[in-house]
Amino acid sequence: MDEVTFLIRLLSDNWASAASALVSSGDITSSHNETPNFIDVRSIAPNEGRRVDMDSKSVVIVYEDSGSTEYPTIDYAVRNETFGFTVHIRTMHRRDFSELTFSRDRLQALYRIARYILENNSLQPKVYVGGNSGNAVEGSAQILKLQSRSEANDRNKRLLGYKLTVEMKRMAISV
Amino acid sequence: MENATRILQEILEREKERNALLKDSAYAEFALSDESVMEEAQKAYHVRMMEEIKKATKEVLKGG
Repeated sequence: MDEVTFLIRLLSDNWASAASALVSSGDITSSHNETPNFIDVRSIAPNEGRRVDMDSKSVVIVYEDSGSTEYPTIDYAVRNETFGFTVHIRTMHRRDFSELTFSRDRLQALYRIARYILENNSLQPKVYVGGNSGNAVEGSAQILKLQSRSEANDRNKRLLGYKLTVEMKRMAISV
Repeated sequence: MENATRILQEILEREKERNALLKDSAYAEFALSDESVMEEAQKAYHVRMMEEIKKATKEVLKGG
Protein backbone atom coordinates (compact mmCIF):
# COMPACT_ATOMS: atom_id res chain seq x y z
CA MET A 1 0.00 0.00 0.00
CA ASP A 2 1.51 3.33 -0.99
CA GLU A 3 1.67 6.22 1.47
CA VAL A 4 -1.15 8.36 0.03
CA THR A 5 -3.46 5.33 -0.01
CA PHE A 6 -2.45 4.59 3.57
CA LEU A 7 -3.36 8.09 4.74
CA ILE A 8 -6.65 8.07 2.82
CA ARG A 9 -7.55 4.69 4.29
CA LEU A 10 -6.66 5.84 7.79
CA LEU A 11 -8.96 8.86 7.40
CA SER A 12 -11.82 7.07 5.67
CA ASP A 13 -11.80 3.95 7.89
CA ASN A 14 -11.93 6.06 11.05
CA TRP A 15 -14.14 8.92 9.83
CA ALA A 16 -17.55 7.68 11.01
CA SER A 17 -16.40 6.73 14.52
CA ALA A 18 -14.43 9.97 14.93
CA ALA A 19 -17.43 12.04 13.82
CA SER A 20 -19.71 10.20 16.25
CA ALA A 21 -17.26 10.77 19.10
CA LEU A 22 -17.12 14.50 18.35
CA VAL A 23 -20.90 14.75 18.12
CA SER A 24 -21.16 12.99 21.50
CA SER A 25 -18.62 15.33 23.07
CA GLY A 26 -20.41 18.36 21.65
CA ASP A 27 -17.46 19.48 19.50
CA ILE A 28 -19.50 19.28 16.31
CA THR A 29 -23.23 19.27 15.71
CA SER A 30 -24.99 16.27 14.21
CA SER A 31 -25.94 18.35 11.16
CA HIS A 32 -22.24 18.39 10.25
CA ASN A 33 -21.68 14.68 10.75
CA GLU A 34 -20.90 14.07 7.10
CA THR A 35 -18.50 11.69 5.42
CA PRO A 36 -16.73 13.42 2.53
CA ASN A 37 -15.32 11.87 -0.61
CA PHE A 38 -11.65 10.98 -0.21
CA ILE A 39 -9.64 11.65 -3.33
CA ASP A 40 -6.25 10.59 -4.60
CA VAL A 41 -5.96 12.58 -7.84
CA ARG A 42 -3.62 9.93 -9.27
CA SER A 43 -6.34 7.34 -9.27
CA ILE A 44 -9.51 9.18 -10.28
CA ALA A 45 -10.71 8.31 -13.73
CA PRO A 46 -11.40 11.11 -16.21
CA ASN A 47 -15.16 11.33 -16.21
CA GLU A 48 -16.37 14.54 -17.72
CA GLY A 49 -20.12 14.90 -17.69
CA ARG A 50 -20.78 13.01 -14.50
CA ARG A 51 -20.75 15.11 -11.36
CA VAL A 52 -20.93 14.17 -7.70
CA ASP A 53 -24.01 15.01 -5.70
CA MET A 54 -23.35 18.44 -4.22
CA ASP A 55 -26.20 18.16 -1.74
CA SER A 56 -24.21 16.22 0.75
CA LYS A 57 -20.59 15.93 -0.22
CA SER A 58 -17.42 17.69 0.57
CA VAL A 59 -14.03 16.36 -0.46
CA VAL A 60 -10.73 15.56 1.18
CA ILE A 61 -7.88 15.47 -1.32
CA VAL A 62 -4.58 13.94 -0.27
CA TYR A 63 -1.30 14.71 -2.07
CA GLU A 64 2.21 13.57 -1.30
CA ASP A 65 4.52 16.58 -1.33
CA SER A 66 7.80 15.09 -0.24
CA GLY A 67 9.53 11.87 0.68
CA SER A 68 13.01 11.44 2.06
CA THR A 69 15.10 8.49 3.12
CA GLU A 70 18.06 8.30 5.46
CA TYR A 71 20.30 5.48 6.58
CA PRO A 72 21.31 6.28 10.17
CA THR A 73 23.67 3.36 10.83
CA ILE A 74 27.22 2.96 9.58
CA ASP A 75 26.37 -0.30 7.80
CA TYR A 76 23.29 1.14 6.06
CA ALA A 77 21.30 -1.76 7.50
CA VAL A 78 18.19 0.23 8.38
CA ARG A 79 16.19 2.93 6.68
CA ASN A 80 14.16 5.83 8.07
CA GLU A 81 11.52 7.34 5.83
CA THR A 82 9.78 10.70 6.18
CA PHE A 83 6.81 11.71 4.05
CA GLY A 84 5.11 15.06 3.77
CA PHE A 85 1.46 15.30 2.71
CA THR A 86 -1.08 17.97 1.94
CA VAL A 87 -4.59 17.15 3.06
CA HIS A 88 -6.91 19.63 1.39
CA ILE A 89 -10.45 19.75 2.79
CA ARG A 90 -12.85 21.52 0.43
CA THR A 91 -16.50 22.21 0.86
CA MET A 92 -18.91 24.01 -1.43
CA HIS A 93 -20.33 27.29 -0.21
CA ARG A 94 -23.97 27.16 -1.23
CA ARG A 95 -26.40 30.02 -1.24
CA ASP A 96 -29.39 27.86 -0.36
CA PHE A 97 -28.07 26.75 3.01
CA SER A 98 -30.35 27.83 5.84
CA GLU A 99 -27.64 29.78 7.63
CA LEU A 100 -24.98 31.97 6.13
CA THR A 101 -22.34 30.33 8.28
CA PHE A 102 -23.37 26.75 7.47
CA SER A 103 -20.49 26.11 5.03
CA ARG A 104 -17.96 27.66 7.38
CA ASP A 105 -19.23 25.47 10.23
CA ARG A 106 -19.22 22.42 7.96
CA LEU A 107 -15.58 23.07 7.08
CA GLN A 108 -14.70 23.51 10.74
CA ALA A 109 -16.42 20.22 11.59
CA LEU A 110 -14.57 18.38 8.82
CA TYR A 111 -11.30 19.81 10.08
CA ARG A 112 -12.04 18.73 13.65
CA ILE A 113 -12.84 15.20 12.53
CA ALA A 114 -9.62 14.97 10.48
CA ARG A 115 -7.60 16.39 13.39
CA TYR A 116 -9.23 13.93 15.80
CA ILE A 117 -8.22 11.00 13.60
CA LEU A 118 -4.66 12.25 13.11
CA GLU A 119 -4.17 12.99 16.81
CA ASN A 120 -5.63 9.67 17.91
CA ASN A 121 -3.41 7.79 15.48
CA SER A 122 -0.24 9.80 15.97
CA LEU A 123 1.69 6.86 17.37
CA GLN A 124 1.80 3.59 15.42
CA PRO A 125 -1.05 4.36 13.00
CA LYS A 126 -2.43 1.24 11.32
CA VAL A 127 -5.00 0.35 8.71
CA TYR A 128 -6.66 -3.04 8.75
CA VAL A 129 -8.14 -5.31 6.12
CA GLY A 130 -11.72 -4.25 5.55
CA GLY A 131 -11.27 -1.31 7.94
CA ASN A 132 -11.88 -3.64 10.89
CA SER A 133 -9.32 -3.60 13.71
CA GLY A 134 -10.04 -7.28 14.36
CA ASN A 135 -8.53 -8.14 10.98
CA ALA A 136 -4.93 -8.28 9.80
CA VAL A 137 -2.88 -5.09 9.55
CA GLU A 138 -2.70 -3.89 5.98
CA GLY A 139 -0.39 -0.91 6.46
CA SER A 140 1.37 0.90 9.27
CA ALA A 141 3.80 3.64 10.22
CA GLN A 142 5.51 4.86 13.39
CA ILE A 143 4.55 8.52 13.69
CA LEU A 144 1.89 10.70 12.14
CA LYS A 145 1.81 14.40 12.92
CA LEU A 146 -0.52 17.22 11.96
CA GLN A 147 1.89 20.09 11.39
CA SER A 148 -0.09 23.07 10.18
CA ARG A 149 -3.37 24.39 8.85
CA SER A 150 -3.94 27.24 6.46
CA GLU A 151 -7.02 28.67 4.84
CA ALA A 152 -7.35 27.92 1.15
CA ASN A 153 -10.58 29.43 -0.14
CA ASP A 154 -11.50 29.99 -3.76
CA ARG A 155 -13.79 32.97 -4.18
CA ASN A 156 -14.42 32.34 -7.88
CA LYS A 157 -15.60 28.78 -7.30
CA ARG A 158 -17.30 29.46 -3.97
CA LEU A 159 -15.16 26.83 -2.33
CA LEU A 160 -14.09 26.98 1.29
CA GLY A 161 -11.03 25.03 2.21
CA TYR A 162 -8.42 24.16 4.78
CA LYS A 163 -5.05 22.91 3.76
CA LEU A 164 -3.33 20.71 6.33
CA THR A 165 0.26 19.60 6.25
CA VAL A 166 0.88 16.18 7.71
CA GLU A 167 4.13 14.36 8.32
CA MET A 168 4.51 10.60 8.54
CA LYS A 169 7.57 8.65 9.60
CA ARG A 170 8.55 5.05 9.26
CA MET A 171 11.67 4.19 11.19
CA ALA A 172 14.21 1.42 11.53
CA ILE A 173 13.03 -0.53 8.51
CA SER A 174 15.44 -3.36 7.79
CA VAL A 175 17.05 -2.99 4.38
CA MET B 1 18.66 32.33 -8.78
CA GLU B 2 18.39 29.75 -11.54
CA ASN B 3 17.54 27.22 -8.85
CA ALA B 4 14.74 29.43 -7.50
CA THR B 5 13.24 29.78 -10.98
CA ARG B 6 13.40 26.04 -11.50
CA ILE B 7 11.71 25.38 -8.13
CA LEU B 8 8.93 27.85 -8.95
CA GLN B 9 8.42 26.24 -12.34
CA GLU B 10 8.24 22.75 -10.80
CA ILE B 11 5.73 23.81 -8.16
CA LEU B 12 3.58 25.64 -10.67
CA GLU B 13 3.52 22.63 -12.98
CA ARG B 14 2.66 20.33 -10.09
CA GLU B 15 -0.24 22.49 -8.89
CA LYS B 16 -1.62 22.89 -12.42
CA GLU B 17 -1.34 19.18 -13.10
CA ARG B 18 -3.11 18.21 -9.87
CA ASN B 19 -5.92 20.63 -10.55
CA ALA B 20 -6.28 19.48 -14.16
CA LEU B 21 -6.70 15.87 -12.98
CA LEU B 22 -9.47 16.98 -10.66
CA LYS B 23 -11.08 19.13 -13.34
CA ASP B 24 -11.33 16.14 -15.68
CA SER B 25 -13.01 13.97 -13.08
CA ALA B 26 -16.43 13.62 -11.50
CA TYR B 27 -15.19 16.02 -8.84
CA ALA B 28 -14.70 18.91 -11.26
CA GLU B 29 -16.85 21.18 -9.08
CA PHE B 30 -14.14 20.95 -6.45
CA ALA B 31 -11.29 21.93 -8.75
CA LEU B 32 -9.76 25.33 -8.11
CA SER B 33 -10.01 28.33 -10.41
CA ASP B 34 -6.86 29.27 -12.35
CA GLU B 35 -6.38 32.25 -10.05
CA SER B 36 -6.43 30.06 -6.95
CA VAL B 37 -4.04 27.56 -8.51
CA MET B 38 -1.55 30.41 -8.91
CA GLU B 39 -2.13 31.52 -5.31
CA GLU B 40 -1.60 28.00 -4.00
CA ALA B 41 1.56 27.66 -6.09
CA GLN B 42 2.89 30.92 -4.65
CA LYS B 43 2.20 29.74 -1.11
CA ALA B 44 3.91 26.40 -1.77
CA TYR B 45 6.86 28.22 -3.35
CA HIS B 46 7.20 30.49 -0.33
CA VAL B 47 7.26 27.50 2.05
CA ARG B 48 9.79 25.67 -0.12
CA MET B 49 12.08 28.70 -0.40
CA MET B 50 12.03 29.20 3.35
CA GLU B 51 13.19 25.60 3.70
CA GLU B 52 15.94 26.18 1.14
CA ILE B 53 17.11 29.32 2.98
CA LYS B 54 17.11 27.47 6.32
CA LYS B 55 19.16 24.66 4.78
CA ALA B 56 21.63 27.08 3.20
CA THR B 57 21.98 29.09 6.43
CA LYS B 58 22.70 25.91 8.37
CA GLU B 59 25.41 24.97 5.89
CA VAL B 60 27.03 28.41 6.10
CA LEU B 61 26.99 28.38 9.90
CA LYS B 62 28.46 24.88 9.97
CA GLY B 63 31.25 26.02 7.70
CA GLY B 64 32.00 29.07 9.86
